[in-house]
Amino acid sequence: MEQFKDSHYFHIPSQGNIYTLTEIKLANGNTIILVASLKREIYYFEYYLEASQGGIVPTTKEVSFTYIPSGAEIISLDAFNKSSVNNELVIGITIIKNSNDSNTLETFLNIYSQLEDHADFDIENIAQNCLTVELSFIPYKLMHTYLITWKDNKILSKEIVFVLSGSDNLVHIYHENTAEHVYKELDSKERFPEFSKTPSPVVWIDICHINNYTERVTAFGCECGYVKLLKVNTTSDKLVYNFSTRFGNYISNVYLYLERDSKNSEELARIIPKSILSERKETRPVLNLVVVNSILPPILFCDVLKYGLSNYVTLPRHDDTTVFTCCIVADIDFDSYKEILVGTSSEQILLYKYDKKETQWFLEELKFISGPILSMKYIDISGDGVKELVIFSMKGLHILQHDTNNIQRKLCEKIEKLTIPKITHL
Amino acid sequence: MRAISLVKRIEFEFTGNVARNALTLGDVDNDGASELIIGNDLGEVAIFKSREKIQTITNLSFITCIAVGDVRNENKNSLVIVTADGWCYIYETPIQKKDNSFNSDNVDDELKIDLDELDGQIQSSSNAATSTSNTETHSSSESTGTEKLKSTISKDSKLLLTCVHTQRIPANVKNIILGDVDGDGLIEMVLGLTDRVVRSYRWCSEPDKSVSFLEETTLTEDKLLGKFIALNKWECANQIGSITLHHTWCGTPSILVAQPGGTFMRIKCFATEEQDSDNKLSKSDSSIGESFPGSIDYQSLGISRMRNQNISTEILGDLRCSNVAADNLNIENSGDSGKIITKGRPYAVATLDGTIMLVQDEIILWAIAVDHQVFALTKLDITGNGSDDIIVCSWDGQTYILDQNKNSVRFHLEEPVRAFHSGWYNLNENEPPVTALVYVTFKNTVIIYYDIPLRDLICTKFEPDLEKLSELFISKDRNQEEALEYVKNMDKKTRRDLIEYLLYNVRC
Repeated sequence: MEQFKDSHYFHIPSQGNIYTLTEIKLANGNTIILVASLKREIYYFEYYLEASQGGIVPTTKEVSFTYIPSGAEIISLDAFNKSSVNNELVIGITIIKNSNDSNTLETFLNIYSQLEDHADFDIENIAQNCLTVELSFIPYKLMHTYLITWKDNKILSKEIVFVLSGSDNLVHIYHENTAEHVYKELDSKERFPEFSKTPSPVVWIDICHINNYTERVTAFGCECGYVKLLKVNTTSDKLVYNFSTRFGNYISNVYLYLERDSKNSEELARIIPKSILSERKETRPVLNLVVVNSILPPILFCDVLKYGLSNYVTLPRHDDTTVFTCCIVADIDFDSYKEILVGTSSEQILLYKYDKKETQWFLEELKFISGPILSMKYIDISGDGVKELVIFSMKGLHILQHDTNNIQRKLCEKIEKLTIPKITHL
Repeated sequence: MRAISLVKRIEFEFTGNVARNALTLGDVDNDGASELIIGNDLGEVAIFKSREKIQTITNLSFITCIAVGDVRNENKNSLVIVTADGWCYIYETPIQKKDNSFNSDNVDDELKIDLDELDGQIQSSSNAATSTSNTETHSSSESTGTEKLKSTISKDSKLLLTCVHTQRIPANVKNIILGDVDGDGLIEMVLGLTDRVVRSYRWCSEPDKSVSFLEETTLTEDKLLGKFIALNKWECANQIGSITLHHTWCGTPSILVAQPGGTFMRIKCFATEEQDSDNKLSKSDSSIGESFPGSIDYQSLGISRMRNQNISTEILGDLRCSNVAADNLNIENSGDSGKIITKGRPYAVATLDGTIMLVQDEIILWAIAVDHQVFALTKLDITGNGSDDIIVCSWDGQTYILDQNKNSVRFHLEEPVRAFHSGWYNLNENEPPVTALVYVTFKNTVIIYYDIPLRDLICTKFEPDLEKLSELFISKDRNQEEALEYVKNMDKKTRRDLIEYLLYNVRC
């Protein structure tokens, strides 16, 4: 991770948690970041291009969302863009409120969205338009996924819904009733058969759609160490299979990833000449699952579509005293093999790399960060096609950028790979 | 403004109040590695090397200034400690035989004798301290200090600093610079005092001290080698903020003395031959004669915000520019006259109300205002591009790193700061020194952030090499130029997607 350089850091006065970092992809392709902290501050971060010097200037703004009363605490945060061409942003914030007269805690899911279609994005406008859903449980992880309705082997609708896990050991689905302009809870048994009652609250959920959205793979981990992996056929809403296992401790993160990302061929045609691309064999997707156990080393379940949870490796341990909090999997060194990055409470990121010769994972590097790490993302916020590593620590948000010289070199390698004909073909 | 967080740090315990100028980074033991030296109000000086404290000098009084430099003009660094009550100490490592022979190769014969003699004297002084039958009247505190040092020397082989000189000087010193202020090739010591006086001194070694030493000076001072003789005294109109050495483009040195309200006084002094010779003997007492060969001028930089006459000011001269940067500055400024004039090096001025200015030849190149009380102004080439960056620190720990083109990066210590310094520090003797920011906090700790990972002060987007990128688009119906044109005109979103695809989806 030598090639990463500090791009920006901003301090957050009160700490956030593992659920309070989210990104929003805007219609113009730019990505912004929202982070929330315990004491109600929500910050909005983006890079702004400075025309005069060609540099990018980081800008941070505190956004005051309405209907978050003083004394309330933010638990989780999620956002998505309903449209792919417009900015129809929806931001969900779960809060917990201490009511004055009794000792009961009131919890809410506040959903913010833009009133009418604005061509340009205005976060202040969104923050003022709130729909509130009262919750009967303490909210945990808030995320979103597609609810796909099929008709005659065609996708009829692809609605984005909120998925929220709670202290009642259930996972709740909220979708927008456009006619009444309210968010209602969906009976999750019907459309999301994977979310049945769990032995303890669900801490983290990851959902991955495969085979052109006909199948949905869901993995989740619970407080007690229970991990479940399920596959659902979205056309019939029937469970295809179901695996579960149990670890001894709190599961802090589950991460599903495709070993090889595939790009939509239509989209590819738009950006790159067809002649360059070698005929791609349609290969079976290989989906892996990383389970981050809070105090034991992370476990990688390989090819879960084929082997379920039976084919696994334990990543090497480094330190006995740390708590593993989060995980991302990405190819950060452009060698076409993905690396696993695990964030810890001991202010370091463990970088695991796959050794192709030895066919095993090894701990390649420890990267120190100036605070205990809560969550991480690897996304392109500078808007140049190269992704940045965004690290949310207890102290603030750290953005690490790839070194441009290194990127230039890697890009050349990749271009040469495409343009120079393969010897085997001759 | 861009900000960074720093990870690599060393923390040392160090109690007591540290004056603004009572810490420095420098190679005090002449081993080629840079150390950190800090003094406090209790009269303790600690020397830190890599990750440990190697020496503590105790039993001095309130230390206001510490400097490391070749103050004795013998091609080796000494540690100069000045206390508030007017004592000036020089500490040095005892010269080893090996070092001695090395030195004598470089210096002329006369100096060689000096060094030999000096070596013997140091031996005798430390012997004397242990046997306590010392004819010279040390202050009691000092002899215990030396004794302690002696014992530590015998314990481990590390060479520790010993006091080689003590001298009474006027009290209330707050600033120190060691440098050649009059262009004679010799290092002078310039002191700024809280009573609005700037004094300059030169070290004068006395080889035949047996006569002059006993006759002319009191026994408590001037232990062995020589003494500081006063050269000049200048009085300022207002309180001194800081003093700095600055050179004009032709190399003429001047002393810049910061005055309240963002103004400064410039003192130019030239050493003439005659003066040089009689300086040594007669001018030691009062140096402000009519024959003062220099000039003084006041500069009030024209910036309206700075009209608070009471705001204390820091000044820092001699900012190095890399050639490219210097050229840019020159061209920018000579735009009106149409010819390129050689410009002097820029200098920086900062005021407590948070204005930081870069000034060149009394023209303010730029000024920025920050919302923090800036108290320390230092320079360090933190990016390694050959030109000095300005590093300012405020009382609440906000640190601004600015280059000479007004690009800035912020670092926040998140803790109030008592004293600040930046420079080069050696973590290992064999490795090259790394950049360091040194903070003295109110929690009795010294924090060194080292190896600051800043290569650029501005972040940029990744710009692909278009020619290379266009190779992808060369085909039957598109030649090289057309492909390049196509890539150039590619809309932003497509280009971004293309780069993303190439980097993350193309398999090596």
